[in-house]
Amino acid sequence: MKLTWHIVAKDLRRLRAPLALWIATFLVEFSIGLGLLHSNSLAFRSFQGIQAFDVILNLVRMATGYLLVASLVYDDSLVGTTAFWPTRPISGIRLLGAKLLACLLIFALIPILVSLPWWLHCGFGTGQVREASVSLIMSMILPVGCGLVIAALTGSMGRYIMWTLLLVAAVALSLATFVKTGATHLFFRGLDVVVDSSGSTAARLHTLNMLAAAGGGVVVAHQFLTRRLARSLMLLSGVAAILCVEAAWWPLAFKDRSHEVGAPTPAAPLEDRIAIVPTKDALLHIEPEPAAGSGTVVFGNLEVKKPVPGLFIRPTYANFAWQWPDGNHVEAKGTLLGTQYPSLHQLEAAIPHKDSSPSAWEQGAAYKQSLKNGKPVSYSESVREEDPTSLLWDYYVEVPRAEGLKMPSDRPSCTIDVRCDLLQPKLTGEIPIAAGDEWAGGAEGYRILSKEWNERARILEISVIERHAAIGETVRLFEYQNWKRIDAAFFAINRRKGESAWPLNLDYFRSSIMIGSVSITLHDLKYVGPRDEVTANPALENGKWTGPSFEEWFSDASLGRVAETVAGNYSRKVDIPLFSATPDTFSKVP
Amino acid sequence: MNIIETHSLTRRFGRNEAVCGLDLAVPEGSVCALLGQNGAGKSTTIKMLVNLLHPTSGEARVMGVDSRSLGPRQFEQMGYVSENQQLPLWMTVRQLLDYCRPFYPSWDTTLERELLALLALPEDRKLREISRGMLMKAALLSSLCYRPKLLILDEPFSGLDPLVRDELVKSIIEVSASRDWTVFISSHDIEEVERMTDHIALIDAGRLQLSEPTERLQARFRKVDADLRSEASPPSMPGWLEIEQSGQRMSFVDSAYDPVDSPAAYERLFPEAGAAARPMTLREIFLTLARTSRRAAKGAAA
Repeated sequence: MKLTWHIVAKDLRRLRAPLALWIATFLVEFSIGLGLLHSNSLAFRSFQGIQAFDVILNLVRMATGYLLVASLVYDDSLVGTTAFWPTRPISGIRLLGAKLLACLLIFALIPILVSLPWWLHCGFGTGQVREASVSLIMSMILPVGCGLVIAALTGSMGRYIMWTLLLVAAVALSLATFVKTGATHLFFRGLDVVVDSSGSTAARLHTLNMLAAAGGGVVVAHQFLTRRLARSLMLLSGVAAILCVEAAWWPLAFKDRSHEVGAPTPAAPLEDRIAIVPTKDALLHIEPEPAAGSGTVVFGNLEVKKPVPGLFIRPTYANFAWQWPDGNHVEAKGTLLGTQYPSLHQLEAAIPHKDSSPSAWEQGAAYKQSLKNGKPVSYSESVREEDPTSLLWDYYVEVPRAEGLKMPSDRPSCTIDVRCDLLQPKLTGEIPIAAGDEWAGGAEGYRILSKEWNERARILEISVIERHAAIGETVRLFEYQNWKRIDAAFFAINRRKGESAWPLNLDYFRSSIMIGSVSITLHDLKYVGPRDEVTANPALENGKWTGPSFEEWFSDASLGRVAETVAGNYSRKVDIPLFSATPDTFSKVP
Repeated sequence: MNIIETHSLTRRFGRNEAVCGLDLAVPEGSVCALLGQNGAGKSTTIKMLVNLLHPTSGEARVMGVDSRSLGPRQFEQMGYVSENQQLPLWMTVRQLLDYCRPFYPSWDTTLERELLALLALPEDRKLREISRGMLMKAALLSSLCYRPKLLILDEPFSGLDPLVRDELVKSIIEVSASRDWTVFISSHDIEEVERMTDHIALIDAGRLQLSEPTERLQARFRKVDADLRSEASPPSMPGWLEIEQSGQRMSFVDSAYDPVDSPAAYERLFPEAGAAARPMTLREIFLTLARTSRRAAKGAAA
């Protein structure tokens, strides 16, 4: 072991310059992070500039790291007959151990040690530090692993770069070919399911990763131990062949249980409450000149009736199956789009009313009636034209062209297998609207960068910098429910009045940067006033507020967010006896 | 006992046969030179001996071990210096020695100091900054300090100027004279090798031409000049090479000269004028054998 460390020390001394650059990329990034977290003012445009710089910094780090692997191996080359070490008392296994140890130091220990102060500064606990460390190591495995394999089989940096470019080109070409020819059905059949980490496709992909890692390890070990390049290349070809076979042929069919595990039973049977029905005829888009794929897509809507009060419902999976009387059967996975924002009722239910003085809406008869009915309705809900207890989801699904063309004239039956997450919205800790250095929260923190009342537009402009642990967002290892908080908007809450205000536009400006497992987001928020009042008095014209000024209202307000955590799952099969799809105006029906 | 033995050692690169059925034996304690022209297969042979290349067929045994199985235990007792070896040029001479030292249990720091002084190497200069001659000396130094049983040198004088070459040869002679080790040196620089070797192996086109002690080799080769009384066809005997006749003068190389029998044979063959035989340098022997071999190859091709 002493001699192994002796080789490692030699390598580290040799690579001290690129290693310093490697470490510097981390330090510079953390300096940027610190600067962002502690800046007193930050323009949105400057933030975007920093984002671009961070992208460049990450590219430099990636390139440095990738070249470091090669340099590490080439210092004791495994290819050719001119290397220094093979005629010295250094065994292949000792050299392999030394190189792996050096990799562990360079690509795991050093980044973790450099990142540790940053993580601690951002309030990471022991568990988060552990998870972030594992995540950091996992993010290095692919480039370092590929680099090790290529460097072990090549003798010079020129060849290393050439092989890398060839590999990238081969992967890109394969993916392009699969997409172009629809061969995804052959390779990684049903790849979209992977997103849900469900069923056999995920298992298949994990097996593929493990086989690739094991195969790469065998090739590297073989080359280190024997230095027989031809045999190592043959071994590599064998590994590649096994990976292709595994990708093309998979004998196991695991049952998808991802929607069964850990699903808490709702208080009442959901089937009795929720109904999912198609709203109207679907539209069929037929590409006039189908160059790639079928070019035939079905668009439609599903209506979710009586969603569970207090819970959001979010579609995660939809499988469409059409059956014709002649026995023809087609199945395809579709995409469901459905977003739900917290209603004011949900939000305000979480705000204790210190001051009972009612708002204009609450003084009205409709609100009093809704109280009598046991479900207080906010103004915005009451003025909606649609039923506030229903949701509308859009769907689109690609179907084979022949069947798509047949749909309008020969109507099939259709079964849609819909799976959803039920999300529990919860108000997070509030942040006083006061600019300063204080951070609210621990590892999940916010700070008001600036707060300014715009008298001309009569809006409150707030700039919020947010940080939260984003462990595994690059390489997803841990289910990290706090991610969902990213999508949640900031609300202004006035506890004294028991009212809340949404940002002017829920799709307000925000921009994020990821620095060492910490996501830093700049929110550019604009508020007019409490929602009921604003909606009741729509006086915003051309960006200029002509209604009353709520500057005083905001002086008592704080910011809050609604976080969503998965409270359960729900699945339903929607049966449509006669599926109707009408060609849209752009379609050209032959 | 032989420290190096090869049996039908063969190495092919595609269709090209670099070494063909080589049977070689290097006695322990000798200083053996492997001579041959450029491309004769010397480096390939040596690379097989130190397990940098695997033989296509045949076998090489070094210190009693199959060369393919040579490992750290054998390399602790072996030194290898090659003109093509990639030394860690970013190191200083001192760093090179510091790096190599822990790998050798028998590393002798006293010898290291002696050799540093002998070879006059600048310790704090980076290898990339020193001359080629110095680089070879540094490589030699890093291969001598642990008193190897076997030192293999592959073209160590190649590309060196005469002065440096002389210094290096002197160093090797000085070191090898005072130690009990075997030196196996490949070169096409015959004059330099002649001064230090006691065993010669000659290789041509991958095939071994001869392998024997230098003394015996030089004893059995003679350049013979003879006068013929008439312009009749000259006589010929087995072992005579490069027979040339110009008028009544004849010259040849006797590769089977015997100090007792050969003069008698010359008297018998050249009774009137006689023949004068003179010893040959290794260079002359080498050139004679190389030309003979080339002629034979041309003849076979024709």
